[in-house]
Amino acid sequence: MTQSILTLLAVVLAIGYIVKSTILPLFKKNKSCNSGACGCVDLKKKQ
Amino acid sequence: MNRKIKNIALLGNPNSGKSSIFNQLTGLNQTIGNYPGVTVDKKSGTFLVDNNQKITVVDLPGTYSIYARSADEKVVSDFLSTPTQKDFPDVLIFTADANNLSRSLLLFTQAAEFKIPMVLLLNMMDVSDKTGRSINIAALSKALGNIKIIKTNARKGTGLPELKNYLAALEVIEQSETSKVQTLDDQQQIQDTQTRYQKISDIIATCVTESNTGKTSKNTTQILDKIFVHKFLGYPIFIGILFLLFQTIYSFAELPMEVMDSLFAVLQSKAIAFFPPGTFTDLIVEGVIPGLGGVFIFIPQITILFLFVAILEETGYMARVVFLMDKIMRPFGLNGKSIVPLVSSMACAIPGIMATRTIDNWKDRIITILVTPLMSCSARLPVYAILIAIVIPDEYIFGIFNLKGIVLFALYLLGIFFALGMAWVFKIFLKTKERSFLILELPLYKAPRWKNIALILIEKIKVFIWSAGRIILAISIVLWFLASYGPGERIENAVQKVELPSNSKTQQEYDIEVGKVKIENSYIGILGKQIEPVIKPLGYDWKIGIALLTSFVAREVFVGTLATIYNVQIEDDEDTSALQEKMKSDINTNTGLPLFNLPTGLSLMVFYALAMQCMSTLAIVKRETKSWKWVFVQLGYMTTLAYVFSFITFQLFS
Repeated sequence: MTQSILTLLAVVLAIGYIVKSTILPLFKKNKSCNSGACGCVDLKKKQ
Repeated sequence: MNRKIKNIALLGNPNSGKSSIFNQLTGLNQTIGNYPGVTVDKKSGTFLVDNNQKITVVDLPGTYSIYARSADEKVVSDFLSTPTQKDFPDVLIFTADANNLSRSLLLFTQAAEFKIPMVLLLNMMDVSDKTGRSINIAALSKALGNIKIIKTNARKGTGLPELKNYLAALEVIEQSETSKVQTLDDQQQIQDTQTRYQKISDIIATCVTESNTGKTSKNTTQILDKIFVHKFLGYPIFIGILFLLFQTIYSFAELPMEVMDSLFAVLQSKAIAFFPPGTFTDLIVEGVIPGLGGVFIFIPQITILFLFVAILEETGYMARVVFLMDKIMRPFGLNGKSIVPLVSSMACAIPGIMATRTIDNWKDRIITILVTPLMSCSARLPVYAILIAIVIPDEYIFGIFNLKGIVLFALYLLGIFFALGMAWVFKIFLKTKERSFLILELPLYKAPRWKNIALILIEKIKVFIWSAGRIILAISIVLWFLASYGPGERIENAVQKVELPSNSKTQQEYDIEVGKVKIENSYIGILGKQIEPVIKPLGYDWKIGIALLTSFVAREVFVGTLATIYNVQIEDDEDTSALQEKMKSDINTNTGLPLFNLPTGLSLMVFYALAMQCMSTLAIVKRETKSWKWVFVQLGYMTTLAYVFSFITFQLFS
């Protein structure tokens, strides 16, 4: 029983970590980009 | 009102030692390279001076001019002309390379117009002294408006206590505005630069004396450069160094890899003995340990790769590589400034893509971002290494050159070849006409400092273990679960249909068949069978298909995935044999031939050389381009290239 709970917990944590580290960064906004001072200039504007 | 200083900023030309000073002051480990363009973003840290006064230091990207053309130069001018922003410096610490004083002073005189108090650090004084150059500090200070000058050696930290003491004693007046950068057109900029250089020449003439006696490192550098950047000799030497690197990887990594492999086998046996039987123990023994072990046994090879790169950077040869590559890449339409991102991508594409900020032309920047992940990064090494070990025979060409090392070398060249070819193709579609040139300073050759190399190696290996380890651990857990369970009673029903051991069937044959039936009816098996038709033309079966899917997260996950799948399938707790042996003995049920034969192995290597299998890189591309369009263009063209060329490879060698 304990082993089953531990296994389930490990699987849930692992799925959470995969989503957090691989999918979420794609949607993350870089706040400092708003000023352009961080170097992330907007390429569209340059165009 | 006077107050103690809170913020300082480091400004200087590229490769003048700003990042080294930043690291020495803050104790942080920002990447330092003996070539320009390493810092493309401003970074900040803090340090304490004697009276427990906390000072924030911002490391600005290296620039030759205040007049912004590229993104990294814009960072500098925007930052220095906006006093309202956070971390605006009370004092500007200007780092000048004492060996290139006139060029440093050009930027210094421009920066002085911001009217921010400045301190001039004359860095690399050790090299300057060796070249017999003498700088009259008092005269130089007077000529520059009585500013504080401190002699430093950033690599050793010399002169920095004096800087800290000076900053601790300094008080500044609160200011709310600085001067703006003048807006000059190209012609005005040229005139402005000429006028400044005239004044600087007068200053240099009165403050600097050169001695021509003695063997100098400048002379040594000039002699070495006649060989290393020679228009004919330079290229074979570079190819030779790369060739040697890949030969070394195979010659020296074998023994430590075997040791690592044995360690994980022992760990697996100990875990079986230690934990009570149950699902969680199975998860550890069949999922986590093989998953991590499968990738970590390649640490010796990755260490050798990083060691070579660190030595090349430390000595100053990497800057020569950039110079040599510039000549090769220019005919393919690549921007001169694309070279640093492409070369640094041989370690990892992420810093490479960030380094494209030095490119001022947006189309050139986009092209460089699009082709950068084609350069073979260190995450591909475990994939190449295991496939080469399985399908390439252990033979020597001319009795000395290891065939496996040659194949690895060829895979790296393949990445360079496709990066150039695709840059040429994109150039046609994006129609860039603006020409831009690489301004590159070739640093003096320096003997590598082994302590520094050891620190770089430890840091990089730590990052590899930590970043790759976490994601492999998570994927191994999920994979083990999906490979051990199936919908409803499907696995049990399928096992019941397997013919029991008899006179014509041994218990071992029965166990193997049960293992296969179980995994084929698990969640992962069902998913794998669904995608198998798509990858069958490339010579892959469903297990490789699953590994391809999971390694979209990160390439090295390929090895961990196969390790987990094979461990669940074999399900023999006593069998802790190496992953390579399990892969070698696997049979493709579609063809009846070994699954990992030469055509499949080569096809897979080509696939991994060309495919965009890295979510972190895609996230950086999204961040840098602020557009999903380029993310999908990159993913789409690289996946198509990978599919088409691995199909061709499989058909050619079948």
